[in-house]
Amino acid sequence: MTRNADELLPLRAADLHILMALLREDLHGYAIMQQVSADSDGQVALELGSLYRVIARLHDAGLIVPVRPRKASDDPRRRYYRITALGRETAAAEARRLAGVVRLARAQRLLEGTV
Amino acid sequence: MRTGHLPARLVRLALRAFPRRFRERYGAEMEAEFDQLHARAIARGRASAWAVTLASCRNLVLSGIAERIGPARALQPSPAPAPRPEDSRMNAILADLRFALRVLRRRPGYALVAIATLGMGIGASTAMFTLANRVVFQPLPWPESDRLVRLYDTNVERGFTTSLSSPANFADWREQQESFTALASYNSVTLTHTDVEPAQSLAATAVSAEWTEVLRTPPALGRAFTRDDETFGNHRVVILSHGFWQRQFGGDQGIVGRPISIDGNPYTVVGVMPRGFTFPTARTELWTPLAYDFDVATTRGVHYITVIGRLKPGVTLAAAGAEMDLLMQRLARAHPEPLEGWGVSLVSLHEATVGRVRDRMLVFLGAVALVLLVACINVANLSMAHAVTRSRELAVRAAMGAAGWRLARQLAFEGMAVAAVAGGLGIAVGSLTLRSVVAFAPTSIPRLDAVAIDATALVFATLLSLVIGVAVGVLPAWRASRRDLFRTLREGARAASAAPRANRLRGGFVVAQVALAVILAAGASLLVKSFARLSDVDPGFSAGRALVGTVSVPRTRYPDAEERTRFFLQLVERLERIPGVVSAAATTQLPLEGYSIGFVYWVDGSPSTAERPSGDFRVVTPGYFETMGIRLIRGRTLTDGDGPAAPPVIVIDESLARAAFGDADPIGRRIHLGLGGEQEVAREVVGVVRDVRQRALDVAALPGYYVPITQVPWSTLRVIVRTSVDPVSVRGAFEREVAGLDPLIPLRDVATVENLLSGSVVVPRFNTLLLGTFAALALLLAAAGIYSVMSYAVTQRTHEIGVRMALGAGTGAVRRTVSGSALRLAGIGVGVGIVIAFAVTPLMASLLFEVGARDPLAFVVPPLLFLAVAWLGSWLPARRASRVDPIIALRSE
Repeated sequence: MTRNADELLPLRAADLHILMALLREDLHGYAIMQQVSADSDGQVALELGSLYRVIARLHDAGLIVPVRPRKASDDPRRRYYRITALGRETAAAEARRLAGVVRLARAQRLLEGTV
Repeated sequence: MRTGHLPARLVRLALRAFPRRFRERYGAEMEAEFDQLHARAIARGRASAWAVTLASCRNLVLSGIAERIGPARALQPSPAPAPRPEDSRMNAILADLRFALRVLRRRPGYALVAIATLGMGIGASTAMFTLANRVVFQPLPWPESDRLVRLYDTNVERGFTTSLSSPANFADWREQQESFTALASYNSVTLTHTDVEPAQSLAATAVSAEWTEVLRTPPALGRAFTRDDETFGNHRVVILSHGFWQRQFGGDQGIVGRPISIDGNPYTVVGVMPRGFTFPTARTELWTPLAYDFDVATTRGVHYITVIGRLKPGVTLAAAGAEMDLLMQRLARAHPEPLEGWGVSLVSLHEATVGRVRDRMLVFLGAVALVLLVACINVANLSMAHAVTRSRELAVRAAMGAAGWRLARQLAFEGMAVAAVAGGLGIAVGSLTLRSVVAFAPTSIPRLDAVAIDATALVFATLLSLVIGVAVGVLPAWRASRRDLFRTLREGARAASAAPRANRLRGGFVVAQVALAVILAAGASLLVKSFARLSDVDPGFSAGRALVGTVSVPRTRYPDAEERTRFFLQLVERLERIPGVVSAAATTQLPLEGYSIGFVYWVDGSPSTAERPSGDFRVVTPGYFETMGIRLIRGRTLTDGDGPAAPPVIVIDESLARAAFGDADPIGRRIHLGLGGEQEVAREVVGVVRDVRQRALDVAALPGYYVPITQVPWSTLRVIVRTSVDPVSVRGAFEREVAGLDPLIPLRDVATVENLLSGSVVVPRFNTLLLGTFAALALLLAAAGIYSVMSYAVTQRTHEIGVRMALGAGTGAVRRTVSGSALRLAGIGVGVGIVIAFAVTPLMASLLFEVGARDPLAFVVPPLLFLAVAWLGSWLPARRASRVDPIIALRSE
């Protein structure tokens, strides 16, 4: 992947959430759904079909890669996903961009009364 | 898990919405993740698991479609890369398709109405097509079934064209004929399986040896019947149906040679028929040899077995018929007395099976085609209006260089998209319709079992949707391509639609719709009137609340006729003691059960050369008339005193009294019945009762007579208990009393008399309901069509109306103009419809009872109805037109 992370911005909410869910550890599809839902307080609810469309998209863009099951007891059909260096970079770039947006919103007093 | 449970299967099905490449990459994995999801949900309960399953399926289908349409894989928000050259045509088509979907999404009202309308039409058509295909057009389920023939006895003088045959004649035919590979005769019987507790009655068919040869279907296990099995004494062998074998014996491979107890007698299982084999109907579970415990030669004049045969290769139906005629003449010379006037006729078995219902099916098929046509016209109309409002957009695109064919293709895509969704909806609607039609359908329609939307029906629905899609899409496309670009751009939508040709076309649509709907309504009103007539028929009896059941006392265990009679008399006595039972009786057959037994009768002393007409024969227990509420006109009914030793007596009905004795008093006169032997003694007429519609409500009664069971013993009777309580509540007690007399005798075919009565109106009710529904649907669609055309016209003419109002036209005048043009169109439609209806209603004459196919009602009520509908349909648009503010209207351009 020779692409630059900045080219891919802005990310959609679901894409960013999935990348962030994978920051801590490799996860399979079901765990990603759980993690994203927990991280966003249920704001981002991914369903099976939507999830895999995003996974395909992120995979094609080289932001994540699938890895085979870790334990022998895992269902052989399942795959875990691991975030790539480009993925981390892209997530970070998007987070920075959002942080800029938030700073701007603060400056315009859009966020008064919220933390 | 992989092939197993339903949720997983549903998900796998939903996954098919994704493109194949996507599925290859992620399919298995997604299934595995779903299993995980589902397993967790199950822990929260079944409802939750189903919610997860359905939500997943919905999301999979939507995402799959989205994935197919927009390859959302490109993460970059920048424009899609330039298409590679070989891709450009495909991309253009995809772009058109995507654009079509977007247009439809932007106008959900248009899309929804069009889809619902077409979906209903396609659904009803698919259901009726499947029904007709199954019932009428499909070949019979046996190999080379086109060679199968049904043989009927005929007696032209006495008006019998499709009588059953006599065993004696069959025996001679079988030996002497040369046209058939084999002939077989059969007779449906009910046997009792007495190995089980309680004894269970089974639908069975007694068949002559060569039946499997005629049907060209040998048993899957064991052997077929032989001539030897037909000899009374060797006849206790049975062949099982696959279903009965599976159910009762668990598909035991060693069943052949095993004993089975039938009617309390030991039989031997000699064979099992293949899976899926049915004969003569799907109900039959056992076959036994058709064996006679009397000399077959005595049965020459008795017609009660069905005969079928398989034509030899190369022999035509006509040639076989000619041979059978010669054979019958030879037999008639040998046995002149019983065969006087009798002949034989051959009909293909397919024709014999479905001939009766073909007319009806074709009428329904025609009716549903009309409904579909009305629906299509509606949608074509809508899509034209839709296209006209977009004419400026189309013109702009054309001006910017879009090829005409490209615009046409895009419009065609819109039509196809609507038709495709409507087709899917139609298959669902069709499946539901079919199920309810089958549930309602009378049992007299053959081959209804196992009818379902099948591959043929799917192909039919798909083709239908395709044709409709092209038709409703291409029509406006064609018109769009012919439009004068410059004028359209200059004058806007109004010019495009105000073109006289467009208005004429839409007017033509209204006329056609109304005409089609009038034809349907005319047919439906004939059926409604016929049904009302039928419901008014007095059946001649009033049994009120009563339960009936059949009891057979087997001759094998009760060889003495008096014992059998005693059984029935005791049973009736015991039944009358059940609390809630008012009275009980037994008879050979109840009125309105659709069949009857006939024997000839003659007045005592009449010359033996005189004609001997057939009468409707009934053996009854003394309380029959009271139990069935059949009124006595003169004399007395039967009593316990009319025993075997007492003088033979008979009760006759009014028709017979009139036919045999004219106006003279029949009481005390004597009648003979052609029962054979000693039973032909003179019987004294002791009473006259009212006529009863014995066979069906719409069939006038044959002259009928009743004899006491004590004098004419009978072994299978319908037993009736009249109750003061809900008849169903005494069923248990009824069964216990029968079992109390003999635990090996079951009570079967239990029904309430109310069911029986309504059974006689099932067919006409079904016809009326079906055609009435179609007509109502057409009426609704036509009304919607009139409304949409008129309201569209008003919208288009707002400017003109404004001008006229500005020039002083009153609101009344404007309203009248709009309503007037609607009524004029509807009037033409009604006129055309009536003329066509007048020509086609005779096709349904066979469905009508005491109503002429050209009954004035059918040609008066529907037209008035449609004029009223047209007026209503134009009322709202007319009102809107009359409220046009001239200033706004004039400024609207």
